[in-house]
Amino acid sequence: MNDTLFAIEHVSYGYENAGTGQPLALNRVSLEVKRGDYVALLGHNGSGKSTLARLLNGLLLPTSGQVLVDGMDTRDADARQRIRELVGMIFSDPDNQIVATLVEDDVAWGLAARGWPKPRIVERVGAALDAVGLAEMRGRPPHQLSGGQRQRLAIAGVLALQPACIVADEPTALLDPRARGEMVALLHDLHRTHGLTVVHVTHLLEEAALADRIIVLQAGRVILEGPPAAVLADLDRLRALRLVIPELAELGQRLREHGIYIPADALSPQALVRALEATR
Amino acid sequence: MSIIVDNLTHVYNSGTPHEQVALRNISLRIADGECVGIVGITGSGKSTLVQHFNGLLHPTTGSVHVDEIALTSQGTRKAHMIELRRRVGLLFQFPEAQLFAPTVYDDVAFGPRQLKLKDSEIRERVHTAMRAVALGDDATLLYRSPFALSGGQRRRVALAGVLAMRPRVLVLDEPSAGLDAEARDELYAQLLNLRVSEGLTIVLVSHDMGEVANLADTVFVLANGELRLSGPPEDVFQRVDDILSCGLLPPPLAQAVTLARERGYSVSPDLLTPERVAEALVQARQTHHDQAIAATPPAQETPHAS
Ligand SMILES: Nc1ncnc2c1ncn2[C@@H]1O[C@H](COP(=O)(O)OP(=O)(O)OP(=O)(O)O)[C@@H](O)[C@H]1O
Ligand SMILES: [Mg+2]
Repeated sequence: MNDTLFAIEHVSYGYENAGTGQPLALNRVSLEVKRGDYVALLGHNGSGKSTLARLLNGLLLPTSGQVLVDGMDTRDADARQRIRELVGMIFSDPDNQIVATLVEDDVAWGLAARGWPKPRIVERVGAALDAVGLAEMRGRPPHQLSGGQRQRLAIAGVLALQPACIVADEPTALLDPRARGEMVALLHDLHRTHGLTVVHVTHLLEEAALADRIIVLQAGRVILEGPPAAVLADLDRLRALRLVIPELAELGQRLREHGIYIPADALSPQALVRALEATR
Repeated sequence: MSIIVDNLTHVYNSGTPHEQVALRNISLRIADGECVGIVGITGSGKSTLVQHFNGLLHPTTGSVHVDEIALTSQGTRKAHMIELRRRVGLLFQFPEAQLFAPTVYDDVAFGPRQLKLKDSEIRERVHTAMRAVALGDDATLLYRSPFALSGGQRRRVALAGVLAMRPRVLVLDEPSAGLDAEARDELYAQLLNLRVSEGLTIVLVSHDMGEVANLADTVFVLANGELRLSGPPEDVFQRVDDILSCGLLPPPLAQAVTLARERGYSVSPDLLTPERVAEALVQARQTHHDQAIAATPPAQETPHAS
């Protein structure tokens, strides 16, 4: 098995309809993502996050450079189906991905389309619904589910194909705070217990703080990269990159200025107060 | 403009098996020029409530008055409806889905064109609105297709379209979700600006309590179609148990203060900015330290590593 899941080499992407004089959406980006990594992708509006996310499973193909998924080139038509199975995508609005009138049929849809035998479908669907905590809802119509539950349904649909990776493009943007927290916890749970690689596009530093690694894009280029404690330490830099600085990050920074050591990735109320206690 | 909601109940699909009571007996007042926050989880009734403010929905029972215009189950006169749509601008959640024109310019100009304004006036409004959403710098953007934009850029174009109508009441459903810092700060600055210079009434619908805490004079918390809490944000956010029972979380900063208090830090629960919370925490530690030293008999005093 290949240790590197994504090898992105000198990738540029320009949208055809962007109009003349528009800068490239991605400009010579090179990155590597290992199997089992949890990577957060940050950046201002229009920095290229969604473009990069869509290049990861071949929804978009590079204008130049190459994207290798488990060694397969996304431009290779024969590999396309396999790549789509390996890399599942989730977006902000799950309704775009929901196709069936019953929860379990929706999860089964991708497998049925691939001509799987019924008993194996049933098994996989059951496991996927268990993994996202929707087993009880299997007989319900999707529209009776809450926003957070529908987003989990979209994840179950992807999980049924047993991907190596989930690419989630702002998966919590439409959710209320509690559902948001549950969604982030689910992604981390899938990462930990199923060894899934996760690429999580977000505007929220609080969400990025929980990743193994943060990548920050600016105007189509990778501008900053590293573990959360390092990337989040320089708030002025992040502010200059147009990222929204959470109030708890400012609180942590002010406490550090007073000589109280709060790690830069302590961005939840619990983590922050725990760190405060640890220095008492 | 003021908005007075009196005993408003809204039932969807009334009289069918799918009947659903979305609002129950809501009464509230929004004063002219006020900025209020309407907070609640998904499905609590926020969107149903605000869609009454510009006549998209009518009460099942009860009434809504927007200045002199009354909305009741009897419906509303056509002339009044037109006036209402003009005065009350509503930005839906996930508005990028509503963009449709061939260029960004046409999209933002759509509303003003309906008002049959002069071309020069329309152009001026489009440019002002684009500046208000931090998209004024790049002139070429106006002539691109709205579909050739990133998610956050599209959302800002949709907001510019609402602002270009120069409404008297602005209702924004989750306006800052998915916006970067520049766009968000610009949006907040513009909202404050419009309030001061034009006396705009602003209704912010949000599940982000922090956002509401900073902008609103009054918050209304909905749960299950009922009005559960209302008052100034600093009062409402202290009622942690009530907030939790509405399925919401207090703003992260308020949560941190609550946790710190539980651990014995004597900090006031009504602090709303990181600066003030930091000062209070440092102060509380100092006092704690001093007391600990004072309580220690001098003979036993040891160097205290912190
Ligand atoms: N379908 C498209 N056609 C043409 N240009 C596009 C298209 N989608 C995005 N762009 C442009 O490509 C650049 C990168 O956009 P992208 O959607 O990748 O940004 P993003 O980081 O996801 O932004 P956001 O935070 O707003 O979602 C932007 O300049 C944008 O205007
Ligand atoms: Mg995007």
